[in-house]
Formats: sequence, C-alpha cells, structure tokens
Amino acid sequence: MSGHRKNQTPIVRFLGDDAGQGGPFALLGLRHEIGSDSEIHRARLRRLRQVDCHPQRTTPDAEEVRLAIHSAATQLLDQELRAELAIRWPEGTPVDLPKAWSATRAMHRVTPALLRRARLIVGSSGGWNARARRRLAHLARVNRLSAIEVVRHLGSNTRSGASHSKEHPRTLPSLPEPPDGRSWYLIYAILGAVACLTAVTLFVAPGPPTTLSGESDTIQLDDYSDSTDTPDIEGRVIRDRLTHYTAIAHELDRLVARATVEPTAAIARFREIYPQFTSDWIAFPRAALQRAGVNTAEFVVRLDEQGIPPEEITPLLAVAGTDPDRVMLAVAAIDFTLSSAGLRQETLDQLRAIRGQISNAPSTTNNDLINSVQLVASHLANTSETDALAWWEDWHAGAEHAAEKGSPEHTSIMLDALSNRLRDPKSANEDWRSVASLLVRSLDWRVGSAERYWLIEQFSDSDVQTPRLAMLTDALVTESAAEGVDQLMILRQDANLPKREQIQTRFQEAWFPNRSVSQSGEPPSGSTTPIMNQLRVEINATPDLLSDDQAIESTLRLSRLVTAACLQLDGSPELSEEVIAEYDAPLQVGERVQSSLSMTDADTAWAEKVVNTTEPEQLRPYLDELIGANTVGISSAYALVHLANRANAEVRQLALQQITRFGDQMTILIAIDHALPSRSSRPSSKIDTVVDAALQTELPSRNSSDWIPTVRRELLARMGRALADDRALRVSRLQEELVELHMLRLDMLGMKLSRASSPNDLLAELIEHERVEFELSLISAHNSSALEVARTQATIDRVRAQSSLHRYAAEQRYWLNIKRVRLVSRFPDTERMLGMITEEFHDRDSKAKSVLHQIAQTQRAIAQLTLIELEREQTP
Amino acid sequence: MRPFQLLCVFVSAVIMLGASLQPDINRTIRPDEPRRYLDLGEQLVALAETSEDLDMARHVLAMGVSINVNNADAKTASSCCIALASAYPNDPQMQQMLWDLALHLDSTRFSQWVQHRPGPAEAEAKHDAAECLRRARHEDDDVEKDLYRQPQIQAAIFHAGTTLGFTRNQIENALNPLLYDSTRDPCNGNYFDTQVENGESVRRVCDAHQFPMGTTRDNQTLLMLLGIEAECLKASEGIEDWGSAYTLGNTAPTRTPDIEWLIEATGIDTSRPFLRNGQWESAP
Repeated sequence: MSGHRKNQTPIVRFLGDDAGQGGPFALLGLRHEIGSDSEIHRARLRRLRQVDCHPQRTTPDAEEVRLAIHSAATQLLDQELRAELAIRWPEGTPVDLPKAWSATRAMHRVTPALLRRARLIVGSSGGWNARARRRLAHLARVNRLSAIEVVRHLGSNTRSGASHSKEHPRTLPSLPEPPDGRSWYLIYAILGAVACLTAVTLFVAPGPPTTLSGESDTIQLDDYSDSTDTPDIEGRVIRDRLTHYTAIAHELDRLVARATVEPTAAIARFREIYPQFTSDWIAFPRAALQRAGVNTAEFVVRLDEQGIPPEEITPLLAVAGTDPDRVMLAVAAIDFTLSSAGLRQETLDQLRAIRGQISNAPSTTNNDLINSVQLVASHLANTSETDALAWWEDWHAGAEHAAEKGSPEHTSIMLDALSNRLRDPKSANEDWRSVASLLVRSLDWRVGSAERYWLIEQFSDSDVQTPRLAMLTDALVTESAAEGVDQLMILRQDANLPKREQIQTRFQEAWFPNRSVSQSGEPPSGSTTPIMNQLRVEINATPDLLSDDQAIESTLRLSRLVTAACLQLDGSPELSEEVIAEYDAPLQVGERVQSSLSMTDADTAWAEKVVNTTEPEQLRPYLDELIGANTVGISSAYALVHLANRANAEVRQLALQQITRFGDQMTILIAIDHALPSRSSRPSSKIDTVVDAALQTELPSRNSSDWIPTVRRELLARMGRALADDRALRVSRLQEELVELHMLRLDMLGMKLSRASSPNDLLAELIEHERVEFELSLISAHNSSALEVARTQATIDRVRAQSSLHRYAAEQRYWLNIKRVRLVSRFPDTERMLGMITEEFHDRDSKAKSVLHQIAQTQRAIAQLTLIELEREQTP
Repeated sequence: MRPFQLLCVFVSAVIMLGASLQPDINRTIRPDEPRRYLDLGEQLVALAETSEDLDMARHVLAMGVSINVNNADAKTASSCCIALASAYPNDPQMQQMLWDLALHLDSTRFSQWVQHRPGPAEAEAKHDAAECLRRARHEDDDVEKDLYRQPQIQAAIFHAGTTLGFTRNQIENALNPLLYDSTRDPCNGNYFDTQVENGESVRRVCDAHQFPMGTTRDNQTLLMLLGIEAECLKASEGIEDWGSAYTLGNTAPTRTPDIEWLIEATGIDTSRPFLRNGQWESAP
C-alpha cells in the first residue's frame, strides 16, 4: 500500500484516479462538450478546493497540482486548443458523480464470496441504510468494483435463490438512478449556503479538512463569475493568482537547471509553464518579470548548447492567440532571447520566423525585457485598427504594467495610441468613446505635462478626425482628472475648422495662459518670442533646393539664430540679444589681390631682366618695382624661383624674400610647382629652401619619401585658396563666422579653446558638453541606446569625411541626433512631430547637390528642434 | 581491363566531386532561409567565370542584404554586403559604397572597414596619377608614355574626377590637349630659353606656349585638374580652409548608402525573392 502511495502522481494523490487519467479534461473532471467558460471556471475552483482540503495542501506537490489545474483551465478556455485537446485526451469524470457510482470495467470480479460478504455487511449494518451503503462502497472500492455492480449482483442473487427468505423477505431498495446531476440541484441549493460559509471560512482561515465520502458528495458551488456577494471568494481567486506568479517564477528558475540535466522533461514542463507565464505576466513585479525573461532566454540557450534540434526548441516560445498583452510579452521574450550570445544560426533564424508570425513589430536587440515590451506596446498602439474595448483593455493592462504610470515612456505609449486612433477615418462610435475614456484616465493631465501640449496640437492637425477628437474631449472633460476644463471645451462631433480652433484656444488659455498674446497684442515681457519668430521665418524661408549662395546665407542666419537661442536657454539673455540683433548682417568679404595667370609684355620684360641678373645690386631696383606693384606676374614668378634655385647666395636670398612676401599668390605657387622634382628624384636643398620660404609651414625632411606628397598637398591647398572666387571667399568667411559663434557659447560655458580651432572641432566640444549633461540625466535604457547609436554613427561619419566641410557636416548630424533624443526624452509627446521633421530633413538632404547644401539643410533641422525646445522651456 | 576500370572510376569520382562543388543554383532559395542567400552568393562569386555568373552572384547577395535587413539580422546582411563588394573587382567606388553600407548595417565591422580602405597599391597609383596631371600641366612631353598609358593611372584619374562630379568627357577634353598637342614646348620644360644675343647668353621667356606652363587655357580647366590632383593625393582631407576645399571642388554631398540605394544600384526586384532553377519568382 505504501508502495502504491509512493508511486502515485501528485494529481492522483490530491484529486483521485479519475483526475490522473491524463489530459486537462480528466484533470478538471470535464466532458469534451463544454457549454460555457463558466463550467471550466467552476471545475477549476472545485479542483482547487479539493487540493485545499487535502492534508498535504501546503506542500510543493500541492502547488504543482494547483499549477496544473490552472494550466488545464487556461488551455480549455481556448476553444481552438480545446478542440485539439479533445482529440488527444479522454473525457474526464464529472466531479459531482459519486465515485462509488461511477462505472468500471472490472465486472468479472463479482465472486460469490464477495457477495456473501456484501450480504453480511448489509445484515450487520441493520439493513439497507447509510452505514450499509458506506460499507458496501468500501468493499467495492477495495475490490476495484463499482458499488452499483455489487448492489446489482446482490439484488439479483437474492432474487434468484431466495427460498429461505420467504419468511423474511429482504427489502432491498431499488438501485439509485445513475446520477445525471439534475436531481442534485435541490440538494445543491440547500447546501449552497452552507458551502459559501464554509468556503469563506476556509479562505480566511483554513479549517480542518472535511472528509469527502460517497455520501457527502462534492458540493456544487455557485458560479463565482456571476456572484457579487462573495467578495471573499473572489479574493481567494486572486490569492491563487498571486501565488502562481511565484510558482511560475519558481518553475522557470528550476527549468533553467533542468534544461542541462534532463532536457526532454524540461521541455515538456516548459510547454506547460510558458503559456501560463505569457498569460499571467502582468501579475509579476518588474524585477521578477525581468528575471523570468532572463530565465526563459537562458533556458533556450542551454537547450541550444546541447544540440537539441531548433525545431524542438523554437516552438516553445510560440504563443497562440492575438491578445495584445500576450503578444507584448511573447515578442519581447523572443527579442530578449535573440539578443543572447551563443545561439546557433538555425535557432536564430527559426526564432525570427516565429516572431514574424506573432507580430511584425520592429525587432530590438537590447538586454531589457521590459523596454522590449514597451516597444511592442508602442508598435501595437501605432498599428492598431480596432476600437474594440476588450482589445484595448488587454493592451492597456500590458502597457501600464510595462511602463510605470507617470513615466515618460508611459506617456509616450498612451499618446501614441491616442494619436493613432484619432486619425482613423472610420466613423467613431461608442467603442471609441470607451477606449478614449480608458486612455484619457490613464494620463495625469497635470500642469506642464506632455499630454497637454499634445492635445492642443491635435486640434490643428488636419489628419485628426473631428468626431473622434470630439469624443476624446468629452471623455477628458467628464472623466479625467484634468484641471481647468469645463463643458465649454467639449468639441462637437460636427464641428468645423473654426470651431476646432476656438476649442483649441480655450484649452490654450486654460492650460498655457502665458503663451497667449496679451490683449494689447504684445508678447509677454521677458519671453523668447522674437527669437522664435525669427526662427520660424528662417525655417520657412529655406527652400528645399538651394543654390550655393542661398546655402551660405541660410547657414549663416540659421546658425546665428540657433546660437542666440542656445545662449538664451543657457541663461545668457544679454549675449543672446546681441547675436540676434545682428543675425541678418551680411558676410563681409575683404578685398584680395589676385595675380593674373596671363603673360603680359610688362611681366615678360621684367622677368627677362630679373632672370639675367647675377648680382644683388642689379636685382634690387627690379624688386623695388615689384613691391610697388604688389602682385607678381607668371613670368616674374618663374624668374624669382629660377633665381632662388640657381643664382649665388645673395641673389638667392633676395629672391627668397620676395617669394615669402608673395607666397600666397598663384603665380609663385605654380612656379614652385614647376620646379619640384619628379617623384623618383630627391629634392635639392635649394628647392627645399624655396618651398620653405613660400609655404612657411612644418614639412618632413627632404630626405623623407613623404616630402614630395606633403609639399604637393600644401601647394594644392594654397592654390585652392589663391584661386578662390568671391563665392569661395564667402565660404571661408562663413567658416570664420561659425568659429566666432561657437567660441561665444564655449566662452559662456567656461571652456577655453583656441580661435585657430576649426569650426567642427569647436562644435564637437559643444556637442560633447551637451551629450555628457544629457547622459547624466538619462534613466531610460531606450534613450541610452539611441544615444549610443548616434555616437557610433558620428564616429563612422567622421572617418568617412573627405574634407573639413564634410567633417563639419558630420558634427552637425551628430548634434541633430543628440537634440532629437534629448527632446523625446524630456517631452515624449513630441515624438510624432520629430518624426515628421526628420523625414522632411532626410528628403531635403537626399536632394542636396553638395555638402554645402547639406550643411544648410542640417542647420535648418537643428533650428526646428531648437524652436521646439524654446517653446517648451518658455512655457511654465 | 583493370587499369581501365580504375581509370573510369577515378574519372567518375573527379566528375562527381566537381559536380558537388558546383553551387546548386537550381535549388530553390526562399526568404525563410535568409542565410542561404549569403552561402550561395559566396559560392557563386568564388566560382564565377562569366559576367552572367557574376550577375547572378550579385543578384543573390543583394537580395540577401534586403531579406536579412527585413529579418532584422544585421550581421548576415552586413556579411552579404561585404561578399557583394568582392563581386565588383573592377569598381572601387562600388566596393567602397558597399563596405560603407556594411558598416552602416553593423557598426561592429569598423576595424574591417578601416582595413579595407584603399591599400598601398591603390595609393601608389593615385600618387602617380597626380604626378601625371602635374607633369601634363607643365608640358612634359614624356608624361604620356611614362605614366598616362598605364591603365591603373588612367583609372585613378577618372575615378578621382568622377568622384568630384566631372564626366569622363570633361576630363579627357581637358587632358588630351596637354598630352597630345604637338605644338607644345620646344624648350623642353624650361620656362626660359637661353639665346645668344650680341655674343652673350641671355635668357628669354619661351614664347612658343599657348599659355604659361603650369596653367591651362582657362581657370575652370585649371581648377578641375588641380581638384583631381588634390583628390588623388587626398589633399582635401588636410585642407582646413573651407574656401580652398570649395575651390578645389571637394564638395560632393555625403551619402550614407542604404537599402534603397542598393536596390537601385543592383536592379533587384524585391517582390521576387524566390530563386528557382535560376529564375527569380514572386511565389514559392
């Protein structure tokens, strides 16, 4: 007997043999035909109560059994899955059927000896009474028979050979009808009240177990889903649910270890646990949820490491159904697993395929399960096309659990949902009204919150459908905690554009009184409105296709305005005003002397005189003419270089002095270029001296193989400068202006850099300062990773940069990305607007014909983001 | 007979081995086997003998990039890009763009990307190209036979020129007069010609030139040639002055290659991702 008890599974031990037949139907004691979900719930509660009444109800085995009960119920609640399970698993024995009366197959064991004993039992019990029935049931059970069969045989045998019983006829009662449940309703109704009291007592303080016998049949409990008078019963259900999150977490913990030791069993168990996890993840605290995600990924990795075929591993993470909360967790768990190192490629591929079947949310590869859930929630919010309240309630439960209420992520996700649904052209109905109410109540609408800004912007967005917006305002006014709103702010569903604007103004006046223009029409004092207005003007005035001149002018003005705005935000309003006062001042380009490359008679004559001199006294008068002219012709330049290369020391010295004086002129540079040796020759000391005199910069030793290419590069750079036309000169001036603007900000921030630094180096310093400040305040893993992506891209752009212009463009793009991440982090409602700005910028950037145009367009995008920042910072 | 039988067996084995090494391009590749595009593409590149083979390899790899990007598998997509770069052996510009795209997709490839920058051989050809242009400007009669005839130098000149936005025609129109004009420089590269006047040697400016040595017929042509020289020498990278960089023409817009660019450049049809019997189809 003890051996038998040892071999019993926990399910059989706690629930009986019928429950241990295999499958969820037997476990719950349900037929294949189930009328409604409430039957399943009742069956689940019955079984749970059986476990609670067992002496070993506090053991881990009892927890396992409870878990199995919940799993079975969950599976059967899914109709499609139930149909499949009905094919594979046998029906269960209804729990309300007295065990003693359930049919068995072992009829051949009704022996005469057994019948004699049965008769003795009846006789010794004083006839057919409760005691006799109890003892007969026991006899039948011991002999693995049904009591009905024993009684039937008892009655028939009695009838067949009862000659001596004529005097004392035994009156055996007729066999009871096979219980069909209906006849017990009356008893259930009477015992229902008792059962309620018993259940309440058990929930509050579990009492001594009640013995279940063939007579005291299992009490049929009321349908708790309809019961509103039994809060304690409902609480008991919740207690079981909370208990199970720890059980699920514990199971997942254990499965990680079992994956290595007994993978096959672990896989089978995981198949039971994981659906529970995806259904009940909302009950997990965030730390436990993260840990459960880690365990899930680790489980898959360990199986993979042992060479288990991917076809056996990857379906474990597949989730049936489209409940948004389940989809969130399932997709996030797969993403989390995909980011694990060491998985085989096949496993990765199949996981991705499964992920694609569950959802088309963009993939993330970060090590934060909760962040992944948030991203999936956001994707679902942005792509949902339904107003079904049930869907949104599920979504809301998941989103609220993933993103803490009041956090920027939570606000962003809720606003994404609202933004998406407001733009659905399908007509709005009460479903949308309920959804709007749900989402509106999940936001704070407090002073300065992002949702206030967001709402005001919806009124002026033509994509927002008026009837939907009307229902939203109705929900906001009547059901939310927003202050400062009243019935006059509810938009009518048939409102026209002016009416929308009117309501928008009301919200603006109620929530942002300082942003409104005063009655006199003047902007409030101390505001940044002039900068903002100018920024708007310049942003709108910058065309998408620019000429070089337009690019120069736009870059200059926008850079000045952005610098003024940054100075304002940095707390230097006086400096800011100085900059903005001059923001449209044109670039001043000084006059330059450019030497002509044409041969003239005068130039030829001078050159021929000079080149034939041999003594310094002969040369000096000609050089005096040169100084007076302030320019060197092409032939004259060749003559000077010839003298510096060939003549005696004194003449060479005089020639070198002129070469130094006129070293930036194209003619001299060409003449020197002509005098350079070929790549295969070593330069002479004289040419080295000539080059040195002209370039006045540090060069490699003339014995080095780098001398010629370095000199060539320097000469080419000088030639470029010498040949610069007016426009090129303005580009140079633009560079100088940008240096001044960046130096202004760096000085204000207390950072001392040389004015000889390039504008891209200065901009890089400013960006680094902003980035470090921003990173210190970051708490979101999502924004941290966005920042990291921006930094990586900037590194790549810098290495790819072909010139100083390209390097500046690379720094600008980095700055743009940093600003964007920072804005979204602080004002989550701006994400949609920033997306539009980014899209517009990419479009303009792709059309740009030169890097100069790209610089202008990038500066425009930076100005747009700066404007948003100003608007938000200005508003209290 | 025995040796003959052995010979037959040997030949059969060689044929079968060779057949097994041939990529089975008749097998279907499907988007749900994204890695197959990389494996097959690499095989095709390695075994390509004709331009058609190479085209097929490029198509497979380009499709692989697209599919793996959609699959969010950045590593495999990047690997497809790198393999695709090797399928353009004579197009360094395309190679560089594909490497840039590979880096953009997977930033962990940075060190490989840096290593793949033009190596010493390419840099040498570019320096020679700059020297060729300089000597041509300075009317060196030997430059054509010494340098310009070398294909790698010509390629470097045209590559640098097209990078700056000039067409091949424009470059040839500027260079050819400098290289082939027979009326140039009788004074053998010297600006001053030594003449005897009144019994004395006197230097005179050689007047047989259409325009001064080192210059060209107009500033525009001169700027173009100087810009190409600067590009060959990567001089612009060291030019801090924006005006100079602008004058020398190094103002090409920065383009980050992306999938749209790749699709357009390779001409693949992403709606036909299935490969069956060498044909691209839209359904399995």
